[in-house]
Amino acid sequence: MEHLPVEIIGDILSRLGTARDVVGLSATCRKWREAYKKYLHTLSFKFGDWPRDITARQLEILITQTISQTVGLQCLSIHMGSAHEFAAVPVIAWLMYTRKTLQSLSYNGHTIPNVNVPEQCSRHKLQALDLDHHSIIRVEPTYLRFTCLKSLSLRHVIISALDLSILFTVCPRIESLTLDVVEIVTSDSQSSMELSSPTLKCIFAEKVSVEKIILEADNLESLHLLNDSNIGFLKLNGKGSLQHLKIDDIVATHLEIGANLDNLKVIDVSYFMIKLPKFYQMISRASKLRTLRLWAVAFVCKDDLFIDVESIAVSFPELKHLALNYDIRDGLLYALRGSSTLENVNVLELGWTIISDNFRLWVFGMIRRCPNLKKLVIHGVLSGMKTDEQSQMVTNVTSSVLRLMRKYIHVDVRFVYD
Amino acid sequence: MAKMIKLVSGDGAEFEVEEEVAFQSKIIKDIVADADDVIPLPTVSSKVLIQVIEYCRKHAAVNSFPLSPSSSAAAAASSSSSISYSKPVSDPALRAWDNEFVKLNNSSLFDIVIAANYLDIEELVDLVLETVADRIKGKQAQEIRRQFNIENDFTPEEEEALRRENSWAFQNN
Repeated sequence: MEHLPVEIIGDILSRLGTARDVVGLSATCRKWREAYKKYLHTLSFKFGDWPRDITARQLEILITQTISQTVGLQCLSIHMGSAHEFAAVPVIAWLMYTRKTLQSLSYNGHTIPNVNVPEQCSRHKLQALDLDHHSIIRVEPTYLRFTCLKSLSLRHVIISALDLSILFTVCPRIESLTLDVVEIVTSDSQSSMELSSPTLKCIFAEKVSVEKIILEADNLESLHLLNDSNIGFLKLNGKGSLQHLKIDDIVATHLEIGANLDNLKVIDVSYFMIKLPKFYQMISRASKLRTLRLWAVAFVCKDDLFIDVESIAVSFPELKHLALNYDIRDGLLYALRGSSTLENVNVLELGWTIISDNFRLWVFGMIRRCPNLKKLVIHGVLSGMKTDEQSQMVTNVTSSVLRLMRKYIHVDVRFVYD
Repeated sequence: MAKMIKLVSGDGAEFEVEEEVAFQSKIIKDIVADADDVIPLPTVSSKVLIQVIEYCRKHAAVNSFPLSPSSSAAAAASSSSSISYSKPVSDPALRAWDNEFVKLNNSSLFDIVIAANYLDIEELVDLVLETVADRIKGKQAQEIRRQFNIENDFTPEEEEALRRENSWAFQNN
């Protein structure tokens, strides 16, 4: 331990995760104290590290004291949640003190009056910014750019469509965008949000409401739209870089992901209401698809035929993992039409929300079409069971599938019932 | 036939390793570009060098098959936005191997990290420091002094002042 250089002690202290541990252990010996003062690169303040009766003012003093004893902080994280409200002055002081060296800032807390955090950070050093608090983000001045910012995360904020677009233009290197519980305000003159970025690789949007988004992102690899988001119209203009598309529990009336889907490897769609023919036509161009998951999807038009295994086999010859869960009661024959096999599918997941005998037949039919199957997972929802008849059917279907699978000894079978 | 590089430990023992294994060390990679294939490492003992080579061998094999782009895009999308100083190894088998590798006493770990730091093997430094940090999380200064045999070189007045000024960090919850 005596031979460990003081910089390495600083590195160890930086990995401790809470300021409390860092300061507490800095009292170990002079070298550790020096490590804290000169070589600490990461400091994190978390709600829950403090006694419950601490006041906001006491916290401000504490944080100011701790930060000002350090030099060269690169990552700062302050997560106070809604329990405390900080005054603007100490928050600005923390940001100004660390401005020259700070590369990553994660700030979750209320400030009264509101502090425009991005304005306080270095435009040339900051690489990652994570803001979480109920306030309006404005981007001023618009001519100064964040030349290093790669990762931006906004949670629980209100921002205008215009400001969000501007934010993108001032971040020429941005690669990752996360929006979580974000309200995007549009005006009459600007009802759509247009985001343009040649460097953007990932978008992760959860609980976001916006009428219309047009994305110009030639290098976008991953698009995740989740959790109660309400997006009327989404259009992605890209050059076929998209690899991973995930849609879960959103309402979207129009979705376009571009004509070139050569790199698309994963399509994961769940709890989504879709116009089937249009949607299927769009995704069927993804000839290199490896994983397809259509889970608890509902069809807008009741007469829509189902995505059948023949179409899947023909459109996605490289498919390895297939997961399907939709109401199979009426469209069983169509779903199993044709004779093409899914040669490369190793993992098959089939699920029911309302049990029926057709489900059993569907499972049998699907297994016959997957000659190289290694793993089968059956998913079911038990919490909606109302009658004995239904429970009995679950038992019958389960034992039926088990009996069938005895023939396929190389296949690992699981049942996941919620 | 893979190119071999000779590493010579502090106590004079020679170890021949494949180039790609030795190149896990950025320093060695740079030196070899300029000159010799024989690299003396006077500050690294044989015992530690053997362990470091073992780590490099395991990770060289994995590094020659980089992650597929789809998994890295998905990983980037789900990770937090802040820069993490510890980049977790994504291959679960390799992670398990790493966890076994660091099941060593503190003294051995420190020897390894000093060597890895000197040789600039970033992933190994990361791995050891994360392990050490895990071992000291949630502990008080007193315990750490006992655990690592560290002498308290503060005067009683200095220590008292330190605890008083930062009392919040020294209260037991």
